[in-house]
Amino acid sequence: MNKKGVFDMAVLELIVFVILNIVFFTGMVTFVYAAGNKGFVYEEIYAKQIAMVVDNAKPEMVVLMNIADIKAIAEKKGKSVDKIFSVDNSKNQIRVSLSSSNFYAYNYFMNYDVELKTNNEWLSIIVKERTG
Amino acid sequence: MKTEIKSSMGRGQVKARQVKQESDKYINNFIGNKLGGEKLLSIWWVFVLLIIGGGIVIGVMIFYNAEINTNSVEAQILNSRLGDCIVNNGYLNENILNENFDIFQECKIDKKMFMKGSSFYFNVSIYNVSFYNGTLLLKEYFGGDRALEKDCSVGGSVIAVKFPKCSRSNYNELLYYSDKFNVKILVGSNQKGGAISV
Repeated sequence: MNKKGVFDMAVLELIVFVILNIVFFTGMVTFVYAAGNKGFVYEEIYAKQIAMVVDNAKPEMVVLMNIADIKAIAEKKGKSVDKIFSVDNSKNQIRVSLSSSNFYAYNYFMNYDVELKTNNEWLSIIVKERTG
Repeated sequence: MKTEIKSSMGRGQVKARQVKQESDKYINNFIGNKLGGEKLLSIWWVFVLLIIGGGIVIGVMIFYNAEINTNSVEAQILNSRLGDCIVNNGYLNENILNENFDIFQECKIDKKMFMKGSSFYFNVSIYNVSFYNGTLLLKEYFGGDRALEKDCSVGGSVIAVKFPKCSRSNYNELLYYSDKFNVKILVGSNQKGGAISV
């Protein structure tokens, strides 16, 4: 191989090397950023927080909770804010979902019925005396 | 003619020529193998990138998969709820010693969450202070999984990640008509929660 051929190969190899490095670090940054936006952490946090609010509340109490951060993630994922929070009163279960396929569930132990209503960036946790 | 020249060069010159030829050959080989050397460096570089990338991925996954454990707070809440309905300004709830006293109804706790195998446990022990130095257990209420009671004692003495978190409280010399009572409350929670597919 003559000197020009060797030089060309070295330059080509350097370019490939730089491109691979850029691809690698871009991938890493994208992964970390995507992981930071993972909804499951917020699902768990909100489900547990709401369950604890209910356990601590008294009947006919209404507690307002700011949901701006989870709302932003839901909007990114195309999920309607009204469908993030739900309650299964028969199982005493608070459910928070940021995806269409699953939800995070957490139970409260008080004998209350709970109603959850969203209004823009606020969630109303309405605690009621259970009848029947 | 050639032999004449060769013979006229002398042995030293031949040797020098051979050395030069060898060194040229070595340099050519070195340049020729330069690409091979860089390939070796690239493999090491890919190996280093894999180590770094793997470390970042594993670190992020560990961080985001770490459980947010609220069992301790839950146990404290249940403990204070039980305390609130049993004790009232230094007086024992006047119905608590009745035969038909339902602690679930009185404290507004859902009984179905405290069946056997549940994630919660509570024990309310009422002692009469007037007898046996307050060691006479007069009445006991409990709900939930009794196995958690033993786990509470283990979890209190060693660091046990999977064990329930517990909360204890004592109310001393509570008045009930003319008698005095001590109340001990133990609460344990080991609720996990989790993602459920629709």
